[in-house]
Amino acid sequence: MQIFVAGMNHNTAPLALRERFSFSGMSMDQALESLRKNPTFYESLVLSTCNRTEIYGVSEISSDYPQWVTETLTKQKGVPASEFGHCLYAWSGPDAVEHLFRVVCGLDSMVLGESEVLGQVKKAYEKASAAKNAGKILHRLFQQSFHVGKSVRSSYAGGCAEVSVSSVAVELAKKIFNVLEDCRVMIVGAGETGEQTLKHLLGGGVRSIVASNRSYERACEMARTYGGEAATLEDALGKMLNVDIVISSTAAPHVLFTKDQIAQLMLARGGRPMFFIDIAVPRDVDARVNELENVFLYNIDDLKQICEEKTQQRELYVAQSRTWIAKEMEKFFAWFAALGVAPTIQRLSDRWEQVRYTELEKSIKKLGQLSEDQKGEIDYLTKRIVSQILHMPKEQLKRFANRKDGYYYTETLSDLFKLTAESQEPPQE
Amino acid sequence: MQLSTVFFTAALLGYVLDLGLFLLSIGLSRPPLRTQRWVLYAAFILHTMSLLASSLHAGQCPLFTMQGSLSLMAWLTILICVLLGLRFRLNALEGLAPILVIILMVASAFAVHRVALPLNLPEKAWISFHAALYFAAYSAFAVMFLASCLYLLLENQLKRRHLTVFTGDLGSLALMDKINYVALGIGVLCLTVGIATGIGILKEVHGTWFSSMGSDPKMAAALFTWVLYMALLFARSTNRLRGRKVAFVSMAGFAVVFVTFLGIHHLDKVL
Repeated sequence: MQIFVAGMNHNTAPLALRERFSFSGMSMDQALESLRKNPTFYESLVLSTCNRTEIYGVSEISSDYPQWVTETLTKQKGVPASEFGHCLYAWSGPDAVEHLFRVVCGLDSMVLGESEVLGQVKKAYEKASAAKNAGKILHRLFQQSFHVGKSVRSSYAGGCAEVSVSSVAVELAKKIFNVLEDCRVMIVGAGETGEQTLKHLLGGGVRSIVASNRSYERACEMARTYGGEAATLEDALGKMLNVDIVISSTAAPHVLFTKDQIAQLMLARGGRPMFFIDIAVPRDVDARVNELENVFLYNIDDLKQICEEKTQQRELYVAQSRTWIAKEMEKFFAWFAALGVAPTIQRLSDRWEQVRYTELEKSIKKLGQLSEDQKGEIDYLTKRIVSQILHMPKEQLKRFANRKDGYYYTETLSDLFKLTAESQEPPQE
Repeated sequence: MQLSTVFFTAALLGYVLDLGLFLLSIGLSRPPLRTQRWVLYAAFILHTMSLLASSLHAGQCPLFTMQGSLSLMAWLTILICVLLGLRFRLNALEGLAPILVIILMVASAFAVHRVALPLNLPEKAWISFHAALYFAAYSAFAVMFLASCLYLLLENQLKRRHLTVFTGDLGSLALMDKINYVALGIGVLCLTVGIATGIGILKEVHGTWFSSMGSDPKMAAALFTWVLYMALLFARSTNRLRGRKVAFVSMAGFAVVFVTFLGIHHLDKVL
């Protein structure tokens, strides 16, 4: 048996194509029903999110599974294979399992480490379970994947999102003001990073801005672009009275805002907190401003330093996820390999049980008059002996199943005891 | 050993374990373990059972003894912190709350067991209501204390520009400030109503409105606390105090209140 996955995601297919293969509600039920009725798929599951559409399945070992999935998708969505075939990826065995584990850890997501995907995979699994598409193997596989996803996130939750100077600035602003909806931002100057930071802040919820520039026309232009108020550089300090966040990125060769000026401003503001993001080189804001109460000043080096720390955390997240994935894959395949020897173990048990039963019957006949208790005791004794004898070979067989040469042990055992499915005749005396 | 003592000891050990796990996660720069939260919940349940058992044993709510009142205050503090932690995802508030709770519980364990309720008082229900308001107020001040600790920790990290894994659990300055303010409002309100009912009860006992207030050290302590926190509320609402100053005053205020509270009970015992 093999586990496989085939589908498309945000890396291989454009949104226009991905949305044509979205499964939800009725279409999901129909797809699961169609897969369940298909004898090729022993087990199946459809994962459909905004970033991916994937079909996980269990089948006999075959390299035709991409074809089966393509046919299923074509049948369900009526899109010819020629239109999406080139966007499909397909993996089987360890690659498929690793892919699933990467998906639940958020390593395959647009935003690294995002946790939403874990919930989406859980929902897909619940649907497949309810529709009886998922069986023993997918049940185990997905339960283990949830364990991986949760463990990785609970151990290394900090800082796995994309990191940039702008995103760090937004994060810091949220640490000070909690929500940015009520914050007013002033952008002083027109540097590229400054504008980028402003965009991030607007994305973070900021609604009100003031654009200040040496050239009033440029300030008006920015105010028009981002929907705010314009001010000259000379008016900037006065306008700060009602501003919470200041992004400064001018090309001025000297400090624009001194400690004394900001101290005066803070008095006039009644001590309301202010956050200065000084990304100008040379700096626009006096470094001593940070000493003032309720004023937080970060320059470009401070932001880059935090970026570096976060990047390290991000790399750590990826590395640790890989370690978890490798460990859990090993566990899963140990179980999966043991599943492969299960029929042999069952046949071995059946054979010995047959022998035990036949010999027990003969002995009881020879022994003559025995009470029911005595018969029961002998029955229990023989069962215990058989169970004890078989315990070690069974355990060893499961253990060896996960080795490369595990197949030979299974074969040898089958040969020695004639354990093929066809040769279940009673043993000769 | 009484059943309430068994539950009390188990709860105390649970809080110690919870705090240990929290400090360990900080030491290892890891997010707090999920186990830690469950340990806290288990300790809280044991604490609840301890209060119930002692109430059933004594035949009255645990407001009239030093032991019971400190334990109840610790219980209320944890309850508020857990609710706030769940509402705002503030792991640090839940993580640090046991520090204060352990202090309160240890103080409770060493307090002299004595029924403080004068048996000849007719309005027992009013006394219960009055005492419950006091402890609700003190618990709100305890939450202010914890929120102020977190505020100062976060402010320090932001000023030093050194963010850690722990920073994410500290919430934001604005949120801590808001929690502080809301807790202050609730605390002052409860204390005001508590004092008003206290004056009413003294009137019942002594027959006059104010002449007996000076002779009751608990009432004097309550009035002192009320003046302290009213002043803070006034300073906050008129923007005379902000940010770290509020945090420092809240912490100092709670320390003074706590010491006064213990001192007055001790004085009461001696007298």
